Amino acid sequence: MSETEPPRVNENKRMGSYEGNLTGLLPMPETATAAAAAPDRAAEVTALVNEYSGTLYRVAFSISRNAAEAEDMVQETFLRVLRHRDRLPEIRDARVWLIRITWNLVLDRKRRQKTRPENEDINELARVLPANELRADQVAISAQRHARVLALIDELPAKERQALLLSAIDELSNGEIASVLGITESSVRSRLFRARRDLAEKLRKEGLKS
Amino acid sequence: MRFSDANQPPAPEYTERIDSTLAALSVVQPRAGLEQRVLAHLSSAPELSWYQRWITIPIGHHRWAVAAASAVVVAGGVTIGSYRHHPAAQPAPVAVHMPRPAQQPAATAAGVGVSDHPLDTHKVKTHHRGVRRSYRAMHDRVPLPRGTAVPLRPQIVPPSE
Repeated sequence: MSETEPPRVNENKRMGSYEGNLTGLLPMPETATAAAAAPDRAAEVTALVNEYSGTLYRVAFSISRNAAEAEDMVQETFLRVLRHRDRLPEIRDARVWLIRITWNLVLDRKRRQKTRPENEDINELARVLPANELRADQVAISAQRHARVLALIDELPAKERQALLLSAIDELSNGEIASVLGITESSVRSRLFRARRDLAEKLRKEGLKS
Repeated sequence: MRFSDANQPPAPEYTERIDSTLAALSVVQPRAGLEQRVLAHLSSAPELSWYQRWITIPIGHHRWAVAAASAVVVAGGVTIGSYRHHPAAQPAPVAVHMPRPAQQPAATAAGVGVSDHPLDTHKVKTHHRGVRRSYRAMHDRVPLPRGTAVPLRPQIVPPSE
């Protein structure tokens, strides 16, 4: 959500006792200094939720390809942020920090899961892709084409696949991808190059062109 | 792929296809109201105890290194403490069994409760405790002065007649 958008007051009131932010919902700290800082921290977490939820959702979806699971991961990410909100002042780049938490959470969950059938990806993609004046059948065809490419991306080596998927997220720079993956920027560039080259080779073998 | 093509960029028709799919991933939209659902979830989440918070420290903080260092400190403390209770550096005095000449107990001397039969003499209770002593008994003793020669085996002194 951008800063220019109006706050969603009406939606917040529909949720009963929930008042739209976390101020006042957190336990009161014991010292006076901490008590003064607590509402700021809560407001800070609320601002992070409003600003980065969409980005984190896309990060989670790029790996999980499941809308409900991606939303769970976003909630889990912010739950961790809230529980360790005392560290917020130490964070230099909140966006990269949040993406890294989500990324690790999704990878952890992905490791525990078995592979999904490809048609499940197609259905999920058709559900979350913006329609943009396309007919339903066109959306389905588009989702099918993308799902095939995503299946080929899944066959890439893990390091290259991760760099490629992160490069698709809200135009993360190579430096930010390097921070998320904990590698150097030049490594990111070489991984991206290899990923694209290998993926193009797979597409050529399958006879898939644009 | 031929070796000479290894450093060549992929053909444009495939690049377009790849970019198209990656662009689709970048415009994926969550259901409306994700922020509100997240905030509502956070407001209903219970506070964690200190150990739960420690377990859920975000990845990147070296919690296991801290735990290992703490374990080393605790183990060191326990080891040092046990050495203080058991001063092994100071040799404990060796208890030497010196058999005494056969001596009749006081009860025998008084002639009360003791059989006169020669085979019953072994039934008389003695206060012989052997070479092995309990830890407390060893430490209650006054240690021998330094330089005292301690025999390795107990000397058997024939009873004086």
